[in-house]
Amino acid sequence: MEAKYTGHELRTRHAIEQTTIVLAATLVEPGTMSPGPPGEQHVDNAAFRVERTLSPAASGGKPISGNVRVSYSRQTFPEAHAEAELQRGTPYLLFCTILGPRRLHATKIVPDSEDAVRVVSAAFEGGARHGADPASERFA
Amino acid sequence: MERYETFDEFFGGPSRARLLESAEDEPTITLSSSEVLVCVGGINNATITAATTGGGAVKWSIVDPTRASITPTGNTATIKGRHPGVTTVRAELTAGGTTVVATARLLVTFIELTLRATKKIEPSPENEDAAAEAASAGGIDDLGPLPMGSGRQDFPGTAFTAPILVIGRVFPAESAKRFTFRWQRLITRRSWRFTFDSAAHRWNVTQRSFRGPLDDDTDAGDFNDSTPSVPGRRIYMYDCSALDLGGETGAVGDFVHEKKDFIYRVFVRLNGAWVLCSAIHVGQVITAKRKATTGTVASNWTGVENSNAIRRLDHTVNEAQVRAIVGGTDPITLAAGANT
Repeated sequence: MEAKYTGHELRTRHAIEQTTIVLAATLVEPGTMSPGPPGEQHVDNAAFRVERTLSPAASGGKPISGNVRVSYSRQTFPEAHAEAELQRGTPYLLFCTILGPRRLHATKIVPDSEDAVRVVSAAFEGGARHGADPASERFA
Repeated sequence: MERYETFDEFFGGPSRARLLESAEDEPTITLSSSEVLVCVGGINNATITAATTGGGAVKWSIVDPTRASITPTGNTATIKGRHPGVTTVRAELTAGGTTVVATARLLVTFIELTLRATKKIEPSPENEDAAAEAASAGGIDDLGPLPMGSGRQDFPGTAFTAPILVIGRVFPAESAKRFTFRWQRLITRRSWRFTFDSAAHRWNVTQRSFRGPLDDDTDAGDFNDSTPSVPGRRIYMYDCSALDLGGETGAVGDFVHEKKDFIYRVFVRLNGAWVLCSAIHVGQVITAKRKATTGTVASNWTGVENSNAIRRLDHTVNEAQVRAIVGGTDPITLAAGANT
C-alpha cells in the first residue's frame, strides 16, 4: 500500500489555494513533536533545505532559498489514516503558509518525484492560485 | 324620472374604469425570499430586500421580536438572531391610503456549546465516534486529568492528558433535521520551563514551545461527530489534549507549565454557505513537577494541574503566576524570549 503523508486527503489544487508557496525541500532535522488533536502529532521546527520554489511568480509566491523551519501535523491514528514519518535527507514537496521570516507551516507534504512535480505544475497551469485563507475564514 | 349625475350614483359604486385606475395606483410589495435563515449571534446577520411599487417607505418588523432584531436600510433589512425558533418577518407598505403587507418565514438557529471535563466519553450511538475517541486515548474513556503517562495512544507512557468533550445542542428541532454542521477547533498555546539555578538560588523561566496563534487543530473527522443525535439533537467534539514529557531533561524540582487557549466553533450550512453559528473558548492549564530522573514519566513527574474550563487564556506568564507555582521567595527571572 502506498504511504500517506501530511494532508494526503487534500487535493493538490485545494492545497495550493490554501497556502502561499510550494517548495521542493530536503529534510535536514526532524524537529520536535508534541501532542496535536487526537491521533495527530504536531511537529515544530523541522529544518528543511530549500532546493527550489515550484510556485510560479504569477501565482503570488515569492521564491525562497536556504534553510527554513517548518511546522506540520502528522496523523498517526487510526491506522487506516496514518501518515508516514518524514525521513532525514529525503526531498519532499511542501505546500506552505508563511508564518514569519524562514518560518513556514506545511498543510500538505508529498515525496519529491517527477510525477509529483508534474501534478503541481499541471495544477498551476490549470489556473490554481495561492490564497490567504486564514483559519478564521476557512469555513466562512 | 330620477336622474343620476354619475355612474357611481346609478350603480352604487365606483366605475370599472376608476376601479382599474385605482388598482394601478395601489402599492405592491414582494420580498426577495420566502424564508430567512439566521443564527443567534452578532456576526451572522441575514438580509432581505423588498421590491416595491407605488411609493412610500417600507415598515419592517419581526412578529415575535424576542426571536430576532431587524434593522432597515431603505428597502433592505438586516436581521440578527436573538433566540432560536420560528417567527415571521413582516414588511408593510402604505401609499394612497392603501396598505399592503408581505411576510417571510424566519428560522433562528442556535447551538448551545457546553464543556464536559469529568466523568466519561458519551457512548455510541448517541456519540458515534466514542470508540475511536477512547482508542486515541489508549483505550481510556475517562474525561478529566488522567494518571501521569497515560491518555495518548500516539505518546505511549509519556503524556500528561486531560480529555474533554465539547457538546453542542441544536435549537430548534427543525434546524437539527434540516441542516448540516461542522466542527472546528483553533489553538494558541505556549509552554515554559521553570528551572531552578541552585548556585544562584534563582528560578529561570524560558519558553519551551509555542503554537499558533489560531492554528487549525481540527482532527481529520474520526474524533468529532457533527451529525445531530436523535432525539437529543447533540453533536460532539473530543480532545485528549496533553503535554508530552517524554523528552524532558529537567532536574528534580523543576516544572513544565503550559497554557492552551482553544476556540471551539460550529458552522452550519445555510443557503449553500458555511456560517459560523456558535463558539466558545476552552482554556487548558497544565503544570507538571519533576520528582525523579531515573524512572519513567509516570514515576519521574507529578501532575500539579491539568484543568480545562470555559475561559479565555492569555499566552504569557508573569512573575506572580510563576510564584504561585514554585512558591518560596527565591527571585524569578523571565528570559527575554519567554513570552514572544
